[in-house]
Amino acid sequence: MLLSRADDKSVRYVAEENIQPLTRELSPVLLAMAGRFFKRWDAAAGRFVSNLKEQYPDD
Amino acid sequence: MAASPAVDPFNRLPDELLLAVCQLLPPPATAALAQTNKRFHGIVVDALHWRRRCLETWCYWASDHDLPALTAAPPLCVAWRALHETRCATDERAQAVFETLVATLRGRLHRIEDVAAFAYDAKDLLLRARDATPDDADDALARRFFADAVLGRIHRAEAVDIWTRLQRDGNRVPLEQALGAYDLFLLSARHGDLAEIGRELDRLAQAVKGANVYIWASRSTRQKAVAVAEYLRARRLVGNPDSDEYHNLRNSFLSLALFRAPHTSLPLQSVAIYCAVAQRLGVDAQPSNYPQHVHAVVRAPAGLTLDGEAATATKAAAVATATTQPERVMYMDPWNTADEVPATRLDDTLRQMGVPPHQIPGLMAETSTLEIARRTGRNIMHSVQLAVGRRAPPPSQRSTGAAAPAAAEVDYEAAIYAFMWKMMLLGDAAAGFSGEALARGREVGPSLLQQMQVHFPEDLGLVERTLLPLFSGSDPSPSEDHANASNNDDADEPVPSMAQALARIRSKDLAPIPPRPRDEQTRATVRYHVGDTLIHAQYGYQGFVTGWDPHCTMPDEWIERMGVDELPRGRDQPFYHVV
Repeated sequence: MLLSRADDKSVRYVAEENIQPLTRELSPVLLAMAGRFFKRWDAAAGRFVSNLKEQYPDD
Repeated sequence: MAASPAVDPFNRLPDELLLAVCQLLPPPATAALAQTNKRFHGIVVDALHWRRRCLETWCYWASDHDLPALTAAPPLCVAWRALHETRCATDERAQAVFETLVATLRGRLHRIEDVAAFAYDAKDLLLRARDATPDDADDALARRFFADAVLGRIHRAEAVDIWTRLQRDGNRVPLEQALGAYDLFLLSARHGDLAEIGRELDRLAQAVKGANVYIWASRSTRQKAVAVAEYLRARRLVGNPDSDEYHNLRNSFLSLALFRAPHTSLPLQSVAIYCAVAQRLGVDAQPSNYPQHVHAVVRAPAGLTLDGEAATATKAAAVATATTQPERVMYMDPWNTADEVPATRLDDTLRQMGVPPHQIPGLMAETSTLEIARRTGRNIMHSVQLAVGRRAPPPSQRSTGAAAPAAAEVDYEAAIYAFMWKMMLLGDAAAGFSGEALARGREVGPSLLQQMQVHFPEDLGLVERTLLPLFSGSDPSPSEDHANASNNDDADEPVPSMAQALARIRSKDLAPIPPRPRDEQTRATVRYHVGDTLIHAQYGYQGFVTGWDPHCTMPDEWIERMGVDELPRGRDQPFYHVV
């Protein structure tokens, strides 16, 4: 890919220890991509509502 | 009415004449007439009513309806009511497929294809889903996303169709459509539709005429050519005052030049707008392929000079592409000035550049729409490469000072994708025959496939339909060399052909999805969930979770390369798919 900023559209595989919960607003670029995977943003729970129930029914 | 219908001459008129009469009546009178008897009611109300219903309900119509012909025809000659029913049925079917597509992962690509098959007949409902879904809808994000994705797919299919026709028969495709095809690739294009571009150019042409209304008919070609440039420049619709921004990617897109402030463009787009408007006013203006700076070539009508006088016999018989005919051919540079550019200046500049004299007339003369479309593609890639090289924040942030850069910026990946399609369908100017140009263009095939998979997976059907026939046998597709966690490809697998790669995508779309429920153990150990937002502890990038594994499932080679075993918790901790 020509543009390889870390915030691009690639899927990465990340170890749990390298994950920190995000407290700020998600960047607009990522927000625009979220619709592919999620139904909507749940502000109360602070996370997206999954649209991947076929694959992860309990998430 | 006093007389009986059998005697009344008015009533003996055929339907079409009655309708013609009615169309001259003001609406109240029409309505009143419709009340008088059944015949009038049937004729007038039915045809006009359903026609109006059709045109008000749907803004967009698939090209096989041939809407311009339908609306031009006498209302009674078109089965508007049946058409209304057909479109309602289409809407229902398309809507149903769309709802399922939003909610269901398996088979999604196939459903996208199904909706895209309706082309512009689905556009109204998709626009509603994209723009009118309320924020509190249960699946608002998903609806908007997929509506936008399918719309993009439909638009790109249109662009592909235009360029296919351009390659086959360049004369039939208007300049603004050949260039507007690039705009169709931009996802953020709210005003990008070719019909909108066409209408705006029509409006500009009318405005030019309106600004000179008392003298327009008597003006010579030369005066008209200058008037068009003056009008466009006065409204800052051509040119670019900011020299730092010359190569900004947005300057290569007609819809952005026409609809989005600051309306800047490259000389090529300025000339394209100029020519499109001038042509609508009966002025023969075409772009040239002048190196580094496209000009417009304006030609006097046959038998006349630019100043409106009869061309003398000897001059009229002269070679059509001669550049030394100032009475019949003139040059304009609307990007820089509304004044005519002397041919001698253009000629001198070419000589100074070291161009061999025999090539000069070709570079000064009108060029084909095909060549202009190719040149735009090159400009686009140049802009992208400059921007990547600079690695600076997009200039639009700096100049507007606004806090929404992503909205203002052109989608770079879409622009690159557009360029790749252009290469496949139009090739690039090679020194040789067009066959060679196309062959070179097709080298881009594997990259296009990869770009599609990452950014525009909904284009699967379009790629299959259009590109597969261009490739025979075994052309390699790219190996997926960045970690694709859901695919666990063996690194030793032979590189598949394009047909195989596409078939694999298709079967994966239809394959059953093994569910991954949480048991007691995974509930306890896998801390994060699908939908959580995160920041990478080391690299600092933002992302969200789209899947998980209780331990690292990548092949050993990947584990070694990424140093997983060196992490404190090693490979036995949960790993997440993060976008």
